[in-house]
Amino acid sequence: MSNETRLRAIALIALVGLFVAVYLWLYQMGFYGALLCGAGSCEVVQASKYARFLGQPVPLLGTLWYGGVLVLAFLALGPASGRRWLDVLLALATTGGLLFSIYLTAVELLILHAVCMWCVISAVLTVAIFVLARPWRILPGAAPAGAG
Amino acid sequence: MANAKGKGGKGFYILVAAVVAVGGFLLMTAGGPDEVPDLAPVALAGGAIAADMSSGTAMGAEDAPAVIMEFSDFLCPHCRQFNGLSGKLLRQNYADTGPLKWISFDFPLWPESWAPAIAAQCAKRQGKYWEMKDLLFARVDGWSREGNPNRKFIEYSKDLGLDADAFKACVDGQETLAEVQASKAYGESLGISSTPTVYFNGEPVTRGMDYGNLEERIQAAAAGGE
Repeated sequence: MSNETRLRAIALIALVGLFVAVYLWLYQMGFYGALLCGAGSCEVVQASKYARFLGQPVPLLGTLWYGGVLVLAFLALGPASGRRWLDVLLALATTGGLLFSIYLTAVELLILHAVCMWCVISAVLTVAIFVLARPWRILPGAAPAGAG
Repeated sequence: MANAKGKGGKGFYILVAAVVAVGGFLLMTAGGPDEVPDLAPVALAGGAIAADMSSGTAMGAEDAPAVIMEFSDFLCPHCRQFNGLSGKLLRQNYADTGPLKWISFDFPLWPESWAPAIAAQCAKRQGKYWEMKDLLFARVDGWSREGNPNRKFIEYSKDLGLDADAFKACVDGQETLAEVQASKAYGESLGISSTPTVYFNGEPVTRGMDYGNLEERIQAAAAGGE
């Protein structure tokens, strides 16, 4: 898969994730009466104390994260293509996103014993973005960007 | 240099546009404050259903021409918004001295929602249900993060000038559990499954659950029009 194809896939996935995060954020702000939740216990998760991190609503953090990844992907596809700093930023963002997603999933499974369908979708999107971004490329001795 | 406008760029932008269109459409149609379940009207006077209304907490004149019944969960964000804005103002402007009777029912949807409902009922025993209700919604970010939210509720009881010892015994002993259960059971008997659910003069409010619309209906009822 070419670097360009990977970045396009990251942009599209981040865009989908952005809509999911905005939806959950609007719900937390009271815009929607009830969450559309085909399976799982969305409202239990969204109403729990873990729905905030460092005082901020988790969906707001998700919105910023997906928006940031989207911008980085478009920058990498266009004006800042091939720049080292962009690779580093994308690597840090996607690794941070993955770790945060692991933390949230652990909270759902081990503490709340409730799973939110939207959180699962977001976790899958985050893993997909991580795998596509291949942040380990920035490590010393790794294959150069664009290879493979 | 990689460029989104390069090979396959057109298809990529079509996909981006499609995701934006579908996502935007879903966000706008995902349901909103006006979305309500299909509920039957409630008889306001006489009969078994009316008798069960005693599980609610009423404010306003007994014979008020406008009656609003409200079912809320203390952890429901939209309940917080509705009570903090429209509910509080309508009660202040019309139920205290005017033509409105407001009956509030605790309807805990989640296991974590029972403790605040029990606390509100404990405050009711000391005549401060509405004050505690406002406080619980206003400070939900504080108590919902506590492993034992009763500690926070007891602090709030002091803020409201309640007998803190009696309040503590009440919340720790879950002395008002039966009241909350009765309130919830009444809501379930009406077919309620989500919150907030609001009735105006026995009719479920299907549209316009905001201050302006409800105020218009209260004024119309006061003038004998509804």
